[in-house]
Amino acid sequence: MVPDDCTLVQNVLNGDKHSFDMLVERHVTRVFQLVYRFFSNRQHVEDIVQDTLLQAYQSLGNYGQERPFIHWLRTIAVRRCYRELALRSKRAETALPALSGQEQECLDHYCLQAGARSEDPEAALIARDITARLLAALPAREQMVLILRDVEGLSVRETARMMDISQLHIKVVTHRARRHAQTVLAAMALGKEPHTRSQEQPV
Amino acid sequence: MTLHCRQVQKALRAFHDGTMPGECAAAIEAHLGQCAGCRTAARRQALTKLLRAGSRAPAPAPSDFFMTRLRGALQDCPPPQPAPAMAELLVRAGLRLAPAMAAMALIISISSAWFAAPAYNALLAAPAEELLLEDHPLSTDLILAALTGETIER
Ligand SMILES: [Zn+2]
Repeated sequence: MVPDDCTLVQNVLNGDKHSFDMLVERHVTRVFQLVYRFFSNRQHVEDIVQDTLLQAYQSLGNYGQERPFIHWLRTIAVRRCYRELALRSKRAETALPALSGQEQECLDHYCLQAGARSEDPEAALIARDITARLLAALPAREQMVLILRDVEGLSVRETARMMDISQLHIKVVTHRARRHAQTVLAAMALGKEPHTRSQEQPV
Repeated sequence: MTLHCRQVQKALRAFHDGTMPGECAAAIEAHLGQCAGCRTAARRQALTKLLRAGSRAPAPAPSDFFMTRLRGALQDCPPPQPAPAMAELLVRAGLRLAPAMAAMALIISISSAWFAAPAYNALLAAPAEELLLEDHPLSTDLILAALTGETIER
């Protein structure tokens, strides 16, 4: 029989290091995917995942078993990512990166076509690239909340729990972050806007 | 069908969700092709959709090289200490210390447990909250939203 997470945690605390390897095997991919939401650079993602798992290992005695182990791991990872984002946004440049022709095309596909929904992985990668640059223009807390809410699809409640702050606060930051990001997105696209026709024009 | 900017901008959400009848959607698409103001509005509206689209990008899996490195780092890591249970602390205190000291230990352990609960929060007392709260005109947006009748989504 395959031991469950709680049993493995108990084994590790009783001195069986190998059980932690099994926990890692089981959950490393999900932690990796989560961290990849925040950072694109592979080396960087790997460093953060490693830090997360080392921290989890050392503080395993503090894992309260009232919620799933993976939630606990993800919480450690998210807070680690947040610290990193906060450090980066302090030294971030303010210039908005312009979109390439291909990116503009992709953006217009999502924005200007009815119910456009592309399952094409290449289009998804381009969308990811645009949003990564867009998010980088926002303060760390806004990036954080947008990634958790709109990319990961977490609820207000889950996000609040992960960040250990109130739900009201999450709502306020989400609202502000979306408006902020919308403005940045429009500005990024505007750089590529062909010289415009009339502003108010019935068709 | 003749559409004006205000109508188009009101309908953008349904347009993006794909919940709009084809004929209307086609009219809006045509309007967007002609009107820069509405294109900008459409791009603003499409933010969430774009974020979701990006989330479907395939994520890389951890490489074998990384897994080897990780196992090595874990090998070098000192083993975790189990968090002693409260009962255990009390027993230890009772056994080892004179009654007066035991009472003292009891008070200390209860008060430190009080501050440390839940344990993982204390451990992770990441600067997350402080940073999130820093330089924060927290209520202005809420008040503005309330005044203008704008809803804060979800
Ligand atoms: Zn218009």
